[in-house]
Amino acid sequence: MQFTPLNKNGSIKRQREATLVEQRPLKKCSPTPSEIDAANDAIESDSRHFKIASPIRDVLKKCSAIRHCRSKKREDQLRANGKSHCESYPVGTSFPVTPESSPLRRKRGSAYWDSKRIQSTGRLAISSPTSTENAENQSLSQDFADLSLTLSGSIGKRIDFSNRASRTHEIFQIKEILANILRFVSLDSDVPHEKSCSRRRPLSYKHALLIYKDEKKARQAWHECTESTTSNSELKREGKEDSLLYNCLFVNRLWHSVTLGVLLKKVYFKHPQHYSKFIDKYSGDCNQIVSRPSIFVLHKFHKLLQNDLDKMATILAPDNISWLELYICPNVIPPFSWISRLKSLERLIMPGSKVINDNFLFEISANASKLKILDLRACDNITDAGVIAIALKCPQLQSCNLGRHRNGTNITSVSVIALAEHTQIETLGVAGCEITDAGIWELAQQRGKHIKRLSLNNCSLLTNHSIPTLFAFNYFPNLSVLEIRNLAHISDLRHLAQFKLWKNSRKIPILIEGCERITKLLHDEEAKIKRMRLVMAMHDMNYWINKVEE
Amino acid sequence: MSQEYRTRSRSRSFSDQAATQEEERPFVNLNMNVNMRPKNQVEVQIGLVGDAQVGKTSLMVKYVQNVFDEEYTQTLGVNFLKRKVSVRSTDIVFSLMDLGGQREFINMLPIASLGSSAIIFLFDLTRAETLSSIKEWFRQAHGLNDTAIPILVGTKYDLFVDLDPDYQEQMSRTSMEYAQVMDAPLIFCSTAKSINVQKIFKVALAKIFSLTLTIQEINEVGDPLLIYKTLGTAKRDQDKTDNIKNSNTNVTTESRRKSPTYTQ
Ligand SMILES: Nc1nc2c(ncn2[C@@H]2O[C@H](COP(=O)(O)OP(=O)(O)OP(=O)(O)O)[C@@H](O)[C@H]2O)c(=O)[nH]1
Ligand SMILES: [Mg+2]
Repeated sequence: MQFTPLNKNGSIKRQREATLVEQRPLKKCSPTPSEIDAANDAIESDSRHFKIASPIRDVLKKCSAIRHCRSKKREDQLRANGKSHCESYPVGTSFPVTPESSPLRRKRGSAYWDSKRIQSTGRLAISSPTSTENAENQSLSQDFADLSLTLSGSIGKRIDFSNRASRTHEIFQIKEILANILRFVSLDSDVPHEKSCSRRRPLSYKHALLIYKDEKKARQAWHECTESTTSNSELKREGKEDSLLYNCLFVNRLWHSVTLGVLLKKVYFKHPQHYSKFIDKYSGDCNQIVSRPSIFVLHKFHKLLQNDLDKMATILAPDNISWLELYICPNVIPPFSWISRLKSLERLIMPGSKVINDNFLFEISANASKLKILDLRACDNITDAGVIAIALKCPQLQSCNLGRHRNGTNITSVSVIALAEHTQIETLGVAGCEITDAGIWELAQQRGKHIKRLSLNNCSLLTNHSIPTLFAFNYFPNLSVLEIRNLAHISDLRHLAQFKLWKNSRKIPILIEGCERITKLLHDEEAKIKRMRLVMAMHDMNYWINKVEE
Repeated sequence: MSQEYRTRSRSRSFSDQAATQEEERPFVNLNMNVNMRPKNQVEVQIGLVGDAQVGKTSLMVKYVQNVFDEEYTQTLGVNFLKRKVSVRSTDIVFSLMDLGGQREFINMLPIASLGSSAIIFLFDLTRAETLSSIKEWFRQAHGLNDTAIPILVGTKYDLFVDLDPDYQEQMSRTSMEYAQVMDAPLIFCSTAKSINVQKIFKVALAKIFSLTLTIQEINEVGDPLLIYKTLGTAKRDQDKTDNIKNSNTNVTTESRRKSPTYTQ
């Protein structure tokens, strides 16, 4: 008895649904991907085929979502007021209430639907306080009008633009909003950087086999490292990302000025011709400073001359630079006039520089007291003296890399001890330097708990008395990367193996990079420990099953 | 396929919740400053099967939580509980899978048998028909996993001792024959009175790892039988190497499961 009317209702409802569906296309509640794409297409054509970056696409989606919700609410209201045919739907039915004004509807495009809908929703439109139904054929920009960003007519001086551009939505003509959008776009574009690899390349096929414990993987890894490093496809991809913001320069005058502002916050070059173009364009402007960037990066400018770099000093002011990088630019140092003004410097990356020396470090350390990251790999002229200056004047230093293949004698335990005593060092690279056991002990005692990465490859003076012994006492509990290739005097890997297993058991990633000999020793020790533990486990289980309980 | 079973059973069985909560506890048993030597961890999965109301859930709950409930709650699907036993430097983790005995859950038998190192076949000592059902249970479970050690367990020994001595004699003899055929250790237990409960799992572990168990056997008719020495070993020689190999992967400091197990 109770169920029959319900069922009946249900069937009535379904009938209604059917007829209504015929009148108005209500099936979909949310825009399909193709519809969103179509919407994007519209925008794209509006803005002169300018390529829309993903953030904008997101904004778009959000807009339609907001609108969607609103109209849904309105319909609910109407239903409550009983002013339209909606009232006849039983409350709580799963009827797909597609909003009348949903932006997606327009995209259906068929005139048949349009006329039908307008007829059937006429009443609804009149009774709705926020109705925009009668303007169904407006361009996409009207959809955005719901966001009430437009102060009618005050913004968007249409005369400035060509016919097509005049249809660009107003939000793209508001400087602040545009700046925000472009800032997001700039987040996408990467500052050129050294490709980070999860682990170093194996030294031989046998070594690869030891590391990967699987022939297929090992062969692949070994193959990869005999191949050349940069693949063409990657270069292409990078080029594409770069052009994203660059393209924005050419949309219109407003876009140009805003984009330029954003671009000049992070100044980075990896193509010499871009660099010289930039210099040519701005150095003519009667030596006026154009920007105070926070990032200045040059990537692999092998041939750059000091003269060319110094021109930059007339264009950019260094006061806000927190990240200064001259990655493999062997012949230059930062413009002299900058050095005393690098107060904000936190990250100084100059690997492969042939010209910087201790004097440079003296100058830098005197000014950059906030320095946190210092990368001086293969800067052969740097000696203990320069490092001590840094250690004394840059107490916040966390990462320091002095690794090198030449002039290893220039860096000794003195540097390590200075860094350990005076800085917050967590990552230390002294590959190929003349570090002794004493230096490592000092580091362990001063900073042991904080050390995360340690690169000691080719430190030929190290013996079993430092690293292996220190690990026995767990002096580096938080270490996650340890590089110990080619340490001829190290033979006792027991405690390192134990450390590794301990980390593994806690699911904490740990990487110990050894050469073939050391990796093999480490593996053997690991296997030994595992075997021993198995025997122990069997003993323990035997003890337990025969223990009298109950 | 078994994944689907699992999710179905999860949503139904009560003690699953307890088990998941357990898994979410942080992993804190290693004090790195004192000693970075981790504990060995041995994980064994054991399935419990048998007719409805024979006392599978009671036995599992008793073993894991040391409580016994007079009231019967039918198991819907599969129950899952873990117990960790810490012995010196080793943690032994028992993962117990308890399959509801109603016929309708037979399609979830793979959950209880696949991946189990031992399968406990339970029957009710006070109901002879539950013993004859063992034939079918064994046939099916063995078909799915013939490397698991079978263990035959008669339950409710506390009620059994009050029954007619002839019945007791008959029952004991028949179950011994079953044990022989199955090559399964035979144990009579009482969850209510805590008789032979711990021993079931010690026998299981001993058989899984081919350890030498020295507990006294009990084979007098009328007593709570505990017969294991000659049973569950015939096939063992052939599987021995397998089990040692398996144990090699089991007995490591890296637990195989994605979630850490109990901590004390
Ligand atoms: N006296 C006594 N009662 C027991 C014993 N073991 C179980 N019972 C009772 O037997 C009934 C059934 O126990 P369960 O453990 O729920 O049975 P089950 O095998 O899990 O049943 P299903 O979940 O339906 O397969 C309960 O009322 C228990 O209290 C026992 O050793 N002695
Ligand atoms: Mg049950």
